[in-house]
Amino acid sequence: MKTAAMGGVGETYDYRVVRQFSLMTVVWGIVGMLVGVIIAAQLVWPELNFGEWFHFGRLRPLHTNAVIFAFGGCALMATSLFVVQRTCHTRLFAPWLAGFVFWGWQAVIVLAAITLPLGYTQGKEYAELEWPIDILITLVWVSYAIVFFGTIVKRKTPHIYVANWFYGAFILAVAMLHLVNSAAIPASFWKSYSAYAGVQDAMIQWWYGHNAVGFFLTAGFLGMMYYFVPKQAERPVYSYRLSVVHFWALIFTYMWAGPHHLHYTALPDWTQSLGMVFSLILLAPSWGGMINGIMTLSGAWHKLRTDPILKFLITSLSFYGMSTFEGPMMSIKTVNALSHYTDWTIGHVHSGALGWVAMISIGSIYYLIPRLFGQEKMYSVPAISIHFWMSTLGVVLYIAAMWIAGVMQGLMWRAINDDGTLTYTFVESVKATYPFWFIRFLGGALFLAGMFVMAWNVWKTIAGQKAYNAPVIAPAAAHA
Amino acid sequence: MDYDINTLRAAVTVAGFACFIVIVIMAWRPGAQRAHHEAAMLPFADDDRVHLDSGETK
Repeated sequence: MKTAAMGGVGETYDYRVVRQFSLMTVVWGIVGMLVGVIIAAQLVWPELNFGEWFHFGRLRPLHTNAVIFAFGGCALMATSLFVVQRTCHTRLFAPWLAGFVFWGWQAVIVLAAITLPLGYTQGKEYAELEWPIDILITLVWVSYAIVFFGTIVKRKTPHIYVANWFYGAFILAVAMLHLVNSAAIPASFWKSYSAYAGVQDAMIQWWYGHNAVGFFLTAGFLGMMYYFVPKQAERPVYSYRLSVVHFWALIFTYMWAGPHHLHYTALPDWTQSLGMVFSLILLAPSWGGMINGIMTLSGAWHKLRTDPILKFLITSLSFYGMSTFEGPMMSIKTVNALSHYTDWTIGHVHSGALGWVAMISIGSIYYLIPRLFGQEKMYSVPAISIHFWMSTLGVVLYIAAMWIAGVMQGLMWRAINDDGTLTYTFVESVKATYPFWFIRFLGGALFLAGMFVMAWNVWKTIAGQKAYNAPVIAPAAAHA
Repeated sequence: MDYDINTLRAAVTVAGFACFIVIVIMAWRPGAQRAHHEAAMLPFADDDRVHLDSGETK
């Protein structure tokens, strides 16, 4: 029911789909992280592996899919569809199609939550879902691209703001990755075989896998950074020309880094070295972007003291800097010889996933929720602060435990006696890891608890409030 | 010199790198400053805080 359109042109932004995705970000964040805490507990207490459906091996892909594609995906879709309207000064292109993107994406998530515990999987990391779901993902993704790029085409501004470049690259690259890596020959409705074989299959999988990190978990969230950090800091981005070079350097470099997942395998040696070199080069664009984001606060550092949303955004950039330093270092073959297959990798991933991806999403969602429901700010600002400290402490506990565990495992596995026999059996390294798995469980549980604080705060902010759509800004010519 | 698919691959890689260098030069040329400033100010073109008298509630 429209009640007010006074004074303005009457046209309002399409916030409906943004609202839907924003709220589901919180819901899927809790679900995905809860599954993460459950599998962390299963490592500490193996008795918690109840039957085949709730076994670690079935729940682990459910956790990764839920946090990456359900939590991260909803956050990306919410923010991208908000930012593209606000910076193009126009409503969404084909809002009805945006509705399909929301419901279609939720259907993909629910299907994943059913099929993965049942054991239906293509066995490719982060691309486990079977072919019928892959086809639904393709339909949803193409619709998302049409809505996003259609909005860019009908923009009222001469420039395309840099955040949209990052969101656009994320949408295009993920479409390409999904189509190539998911190519498979169906054997039945819930079983298929990869179209590729042997080492080529492995290379395509990790070309996909690392670019899922580079474009889903990095480029899209950098789009968030380039809009929400300047808005919350109330000043334009530190250097726009750096953002242009940041964008192209990242795009040109990321595609080559995949082979570092296959060091010391059947992959040709030169391909491994190429992947390592490009992973090292990636440090430059990654840090260029991080510095650009953090320096946006230059001259307004005092805001960090009082604004917990800004704390989330800027701390996320610190974790981004840490994990994009650690990543290139781990891609060096001699370092990888120690780190590969150990918990160090899990620590590295979570420094990126919890520290960077989750924290910038949480900050952005706290920015959005009041604006989507006609409120000035969140119900409780101190609760955002509490959430911030729970998250930060949770991540630090998590990654510190995994670093120690990982390096210890690597050293134990390579230790050799004078006569050439292994010093430790594998199970001895498992036993030695227990205390660190417990600390990791605590860190994860703390991060999850923070998400419940967020859910309460969001509920209190929107309960009983009406949905709100802001007026579209009048074209500049109208003021002349 | 024999030309094969690898020659094309090398050429595309070199062209990609040259393209990147051109982008860097274009981004740093003095004339780009004004357009960059305009683009950087886009998120601030309007006030996105809530104004219940001008929006739409449902």
